[in-house]
Amino acid sequence: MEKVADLVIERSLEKAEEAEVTFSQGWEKEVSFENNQLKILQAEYATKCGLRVVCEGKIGVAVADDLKKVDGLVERAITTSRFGPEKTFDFPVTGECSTVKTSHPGIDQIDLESYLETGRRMIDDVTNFDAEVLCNLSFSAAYGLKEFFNSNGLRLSREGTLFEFSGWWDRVRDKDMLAVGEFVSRRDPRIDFWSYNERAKTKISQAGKTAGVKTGYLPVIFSPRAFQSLLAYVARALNGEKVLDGTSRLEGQLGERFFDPRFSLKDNGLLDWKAGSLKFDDDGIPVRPLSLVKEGVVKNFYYDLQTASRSGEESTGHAARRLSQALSSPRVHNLIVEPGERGYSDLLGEIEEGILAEQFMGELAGNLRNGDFSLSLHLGYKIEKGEVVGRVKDTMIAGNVFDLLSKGLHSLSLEREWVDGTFYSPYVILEPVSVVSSG
Amino acid sequence: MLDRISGLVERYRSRVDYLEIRGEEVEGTSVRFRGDGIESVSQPRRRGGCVRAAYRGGWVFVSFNDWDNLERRVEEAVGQARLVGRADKTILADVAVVEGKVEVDFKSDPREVSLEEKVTLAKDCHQLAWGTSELVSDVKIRYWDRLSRVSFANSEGTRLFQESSDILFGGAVVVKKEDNLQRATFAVADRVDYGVVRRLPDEIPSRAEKAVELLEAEPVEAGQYSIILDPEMAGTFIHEAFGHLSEADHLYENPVLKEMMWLGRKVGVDELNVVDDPTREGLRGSYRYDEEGVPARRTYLIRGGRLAGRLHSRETAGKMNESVTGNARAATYRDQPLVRMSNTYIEPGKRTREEMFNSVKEGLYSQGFLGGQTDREMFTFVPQFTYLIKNGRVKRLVRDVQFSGNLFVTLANIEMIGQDLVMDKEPGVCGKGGQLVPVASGGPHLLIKEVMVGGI
Repeated sequence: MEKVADLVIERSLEKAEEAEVTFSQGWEKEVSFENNQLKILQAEYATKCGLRVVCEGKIGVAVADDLKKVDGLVERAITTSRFGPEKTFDFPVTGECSTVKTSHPGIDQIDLESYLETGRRMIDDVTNFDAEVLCNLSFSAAYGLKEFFNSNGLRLSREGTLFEFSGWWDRVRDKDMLAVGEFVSRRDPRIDFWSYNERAKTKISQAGKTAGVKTGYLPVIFSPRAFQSLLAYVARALNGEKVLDGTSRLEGQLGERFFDPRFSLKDNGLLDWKAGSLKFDDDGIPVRPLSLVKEGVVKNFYYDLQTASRSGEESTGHAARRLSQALSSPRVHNLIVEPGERGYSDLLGEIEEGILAEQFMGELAGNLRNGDFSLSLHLGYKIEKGEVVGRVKDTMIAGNVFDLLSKGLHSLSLEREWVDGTFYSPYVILEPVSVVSSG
Repeated sequence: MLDRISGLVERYRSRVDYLEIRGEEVEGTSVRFRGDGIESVSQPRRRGGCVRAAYRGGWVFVSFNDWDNLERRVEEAVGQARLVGRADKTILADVAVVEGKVEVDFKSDPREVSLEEKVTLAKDCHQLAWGTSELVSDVKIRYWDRLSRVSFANSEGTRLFQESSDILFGGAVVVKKEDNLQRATFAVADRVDYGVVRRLPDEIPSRAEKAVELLEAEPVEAGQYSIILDPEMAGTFIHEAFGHLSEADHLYENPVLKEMMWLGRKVGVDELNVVDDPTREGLRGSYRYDEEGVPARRTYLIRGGRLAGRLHSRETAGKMNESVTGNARAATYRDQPLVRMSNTYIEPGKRTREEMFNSVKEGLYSQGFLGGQTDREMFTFVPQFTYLIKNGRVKRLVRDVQFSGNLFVTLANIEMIGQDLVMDKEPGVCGKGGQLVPVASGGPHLLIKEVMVGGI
């Protein structure tokens, strides 16, 4: 690819001051079971070339599927630079990058047939447990290579593999639909598929009974997956771009104890084999861990090159950019919430009456900026005297994330779980949370 | 392209039960403005394809964008298909072999408009939106045009070439007062007329004004309400709450759901009729042939208050022993066809707006939509603007409203259906299986009782 990159850069520099070429190639293969049957094998192959040019200080961008059409690519990039955003940062010069394991060496030997076998056995196990359940499982493996070249002489490349499993277990009865979901992703194939089968069976049996809950205020236990929905508000407020455009609730709060002192949050893109890990970000800047909130104090916002320069800060290595975008945007890598000191079952035991929230639906509701949320419980349970007594239905919960994490934090569990491969969190109990139910 | 893929289909078809190759070329323009100015301007060009093969009921789907490797991909699809199939045979509803060519008949072709002009238009709207109020804290503007050319060949002899165009111009304005943020969206769209974009400046000031009004609004009190939905909200409701359950791929392998959705089942008042119709011209969800080469047709989903039909792909129709409807759609060459809605709406009824409002002592009136989601039985949606109704009169705005509910309970709670069918002006996009396809929805004003509303 280096020859093509050099050619593209050479052509670009006939009209532009600077140029940056990104080659992206890779594949993804997936095996899917639907409604207990093997349904489809899918494969996607993609090769792309993205070009950014700088003309009179403004950025133009173009993407090509066909690497033979270099002139068309350069022309489109130059044309769009007339309207492009002004570049306020410098393209990196040195190819520095961090060390982290992101590419499984045996990726080419991955055998989809083994997933056929595993899927089949998992389905048989669940349907023996409950014949009414319909299993929808999907197993995938992917490989990607990204190469960066710029007119400063930068040469960088990063390889990554990604293994994912997702399961949706449906039990449908008239007026009673249960859907339990699990999703995991990591960069090596060490996924314990059976543990997700066991979790699904537990959630299905806990939902055997229905429990009622009255509209009012209650403590709510957020499972790590449910807590991820709330934490999205906090992650957004720590995004340097939102701070810059005045829509972050945490603007001006650096160094302030805004949250409960038991709440600490960090981002770490250098954890081996984690789905969000990368050697360098999409600007070509080395990735490093970053403390975002420490003991309630807001420590850092996260930035890409452009947002950092416009804020008078340094990039923190959090740039994310699709090849078709002129500018990067800050994005977290792997978010980690610090645990509490007591075990989950101890904390559960303290709840006289409450809700255990496992999954939400309707996450776009609420006020992203000020933290007001209103979420429909897709899967939730009633807790009475420390025990799960049944599933709650037709229930929504609401509140303000920032208020609850500063004044309403009951506790965090010692145990933590990885959610979706990029979020590591304990169970979090918040109170009081508004609960609205017609059930 | 059509010749090349036809030749390969011919060569490989004997090794599987069914084979198709689809190739796509897309060109377009995208202009995005964010708060402080231009976010991006690009002229995307894409070219890719996919192969789909079925053998003994198992499917393989391979997508690619390197046409040099086309034959290798076909080989792979055909070879893997023999691994996946376990049934006795592949079941697909019979359809006639089609040879067709669909070309866009432009009223005003966006390719004849300079990039400069499009950027200036977006910039003017950006400035206009900022100037509507001193409380404006963020503005987003998006212009987008897209022309796609799809070639399709399958092992039964169908050969199709379809062109499709889309023009979209819209955005959102955010207003802020201390900690309180509210937003309003606005948009115009057309399939063949670039001229539609000139209507956007008229929409912006009134929408922005409403967003400012929302700032003064109090949060809605949570609880159950009678709600009057405006046509746009009614359309979203029927799409989100009911439309997805009509997609046969949710039903055909799910015995309980299939039994629940039995044709003839009474789900609402006699006046309730719901239709999905891709053949209505010029709407966001309109098309002539679906992605399996099946001609589009109009389908009644609810007729006289009873379940009357569902939306099918060839496989779901075959397995459920029903007629095809031509609702297999794919967003791009990277996507396999799934059963999707097109233009979905509630037919007009007999009630006047006066009747509807007069019957509500205490309730809500919702207009426009921000978004929605469904999981079979449960749905949730967020309207743009909601007013309190007291003794039949529309009172003040309330904010942070979200409706949630159970589909069948809510359908049965539709008390009145208005006379004023309007297909939505806001362009619709529907997501399923990671694919976004353009859709349209609509309806008349609707009165629904006992809807659950969340608040703070």
